[in-house]
Amino acid sequence: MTVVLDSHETLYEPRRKPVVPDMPPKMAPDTNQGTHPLEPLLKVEDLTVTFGRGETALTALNGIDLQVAPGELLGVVGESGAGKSLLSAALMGLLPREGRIASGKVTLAGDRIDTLGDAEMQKIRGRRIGMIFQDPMTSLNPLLTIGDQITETLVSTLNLTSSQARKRMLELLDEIGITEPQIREKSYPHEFSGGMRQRVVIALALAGEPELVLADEPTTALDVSLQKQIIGLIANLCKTRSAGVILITHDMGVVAQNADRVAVMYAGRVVEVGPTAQLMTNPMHPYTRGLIQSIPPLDYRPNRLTQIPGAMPRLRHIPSGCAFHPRCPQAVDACRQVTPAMERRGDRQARCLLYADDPIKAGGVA
Amino acid sequence: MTATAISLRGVSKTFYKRRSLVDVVRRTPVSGVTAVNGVSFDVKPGKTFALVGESGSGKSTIAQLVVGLQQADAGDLLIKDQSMLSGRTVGLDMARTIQMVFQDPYTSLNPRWQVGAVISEPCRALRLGLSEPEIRDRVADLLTKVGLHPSDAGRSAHELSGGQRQRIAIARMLAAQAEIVVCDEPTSALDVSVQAQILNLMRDLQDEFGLTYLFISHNMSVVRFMADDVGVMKQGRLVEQGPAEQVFSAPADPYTRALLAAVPRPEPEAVH
Ligand SMILES: Nc1ncnc2c1ncn2[C@@H]1O[C@H](COP(=O)(O)OP(=O)(O)O)[C@@H](O)[C@H]1O
Ligand SMILES: Nc1ncnc2c1ncn2[C@@H]1O[C@H](COP(=O)(O)OP(=O)(O)O)[C@@H](O)[C@H]1O
Ligand code: SF4
Ligand SMILES: [Mg+2]
Ligand SMILES: [Mg+2]
Repeated sequence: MTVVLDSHETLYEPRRKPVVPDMPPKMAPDTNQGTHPLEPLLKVEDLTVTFGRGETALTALNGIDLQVAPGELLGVVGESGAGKSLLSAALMGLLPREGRIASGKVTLAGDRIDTLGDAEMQKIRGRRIGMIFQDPMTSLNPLLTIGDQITETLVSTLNLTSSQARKRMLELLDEIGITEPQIREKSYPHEFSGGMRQRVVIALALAGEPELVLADEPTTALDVSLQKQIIGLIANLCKTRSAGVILITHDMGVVAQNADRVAVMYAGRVVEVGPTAQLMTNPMHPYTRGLIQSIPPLDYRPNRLTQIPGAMPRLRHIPSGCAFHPRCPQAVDACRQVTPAMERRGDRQARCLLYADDPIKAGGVA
Repeated sequence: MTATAISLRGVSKTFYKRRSLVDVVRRTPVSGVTAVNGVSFDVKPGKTFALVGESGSGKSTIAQLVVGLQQADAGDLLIKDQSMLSGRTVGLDMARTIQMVFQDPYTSLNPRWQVGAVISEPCRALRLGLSEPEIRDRVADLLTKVGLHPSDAGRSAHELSGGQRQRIAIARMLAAQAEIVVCDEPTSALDVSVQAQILNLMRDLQDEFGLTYLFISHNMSVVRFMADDVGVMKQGRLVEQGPAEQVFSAPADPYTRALLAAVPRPEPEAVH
């Protein structure tokens, strides 16, 4: 087994007694996916994405199960390289050329979308799935005024007449907090600040009245105070439209303040999912706990930060068993061999042998 | 030991737009950005002074003034109690004393260089009269000290992750026997997990070598962990400065309070 580590410091911290948070009693698996108050809008089942074929194929996403309800904001977190952007690319049908969906199923409001061709997927993007990326300039045309860009999108996605579209465009600009829309619509992207541009991208993403919005690190380049406003705007606008949101970020703080539920990714898998407050205050998975504890506190100055040793493995070197075991302070021998299955506790789930009744039967070797 | 490691007294720096011939002919007024405006603070030897503020507030410009990459228009800058602005050329010794760690060391590390060469270069420049095997031992020691492996000396910089590159930049600063280290957003490009590793390492090395840090960050939580003293920048000015304990527990300026209130914390808010 090879593990690529950021440093060669101790792989195993001294064993501590497993910390298993108090959990509601284990329930029988629910047949109707009872974890959801609402019928899911997006359903991702056992999604696996590989790069290359045959012997040398690399599994970049491995058995992803996720659901998003209408009006729900799902936060997706994990260190860089966890597979967050790849997940969003797979959902939008924008995987890199070498990558392909090897198995699994993605349904949007009951319609299967993982099997659609490029042309059909092109129609889904913008109309049924809106997208917001980190760099607003990737979504904006520098040569068109922002008013024209939004109007054009409205005409093409909603089949509005140009006068209807213009009226709607001005409403949208107002909704995203742009004052004097009649004047500002004539501006070009470069005349706007970074925060204003990202607002325009939000308007573009919502123009086609999508059911689902994917936002990949939408505020990483912005100052903290702007970040708060922009994420708040996405959350509010989507809630009022009952659109589901997948918010990808490496910032646990952003997720804590905005997400209804959180999915934590590690080495191409979802390792924990649950309602935000519970997951943040009482994480099940040792990786989730490590990420939260790495954040320096604001109210006092400790002598040391709790750190997760090592680094996210490269695809080529994903450890056997539980991929997190070389970095896990609670790893036991079984963790090297057995791939943990998703263990359910009420409306929470984690892939960790600490929660398995019988670790050997829990997963099996994947 | 000197009274202060770094001292700024009313330092200002304005950047002027380059004027074209047309501007000169038309006599368009000279326009400039005052990036740093009458800033004064002292950094105590062996301590960390942190500058915090939003982007564009002038933090990096101060870093560049302190390491001599920019010249101030007004005020005085003292390094170890010696004025840097009195027109004297800075000696080799002073240049070595101050080292810089950037946000993305990739741009400051030549990607084709081997790690060993990156770290041994300052050892050679010091002219300590070390033999080649002694230099190799020193590089191995330094790599171990920053949490890497002696065998990493043979890798080239482009093979490394962001966290590893930051460790190399730190090893290089130690190789130069730096006393004062100016760190400009050293962990802003890293995951929180790797950030925790690097911040712990920086504090350990400070304790071991008595390093002085001028630590620049936009991240209030990071500054809370690193700073003994803190200065809050807004539009080129220091709006508040003092012991970190005091600035964080009883912020005097409304801007500091606003920065603190905006920090997204992992603890969910009590009232939604
Ligand atoms: N085109 C590609 N070919 C091979 N591997 C890739 C490609 N794109 C991404 N990967 C790999 O997939 C993994 C997940 O990447 P990504 O989804 O970008 O992570 P994140 O967004 O969580 O930082 C990484 O190990 C990355 O190196
Ligand atoms: N070399 C330069 N030329 C012109 N303007 C500059 C230069 N460096 C910085 N500035 C300007 O000075 C101000 C402060 O910038 P900077 O010191 O980089 O802030 P910070 O590091 O706090 O983000 C900004 O308005 C920036 O555009
Ligand atoms: S299964 Fe993984 S996360 Fe759980 S204890 Fe073992 S190594 Fe740690
Ligand atoms: Mg990504
Ligand atoms: Mg800067």
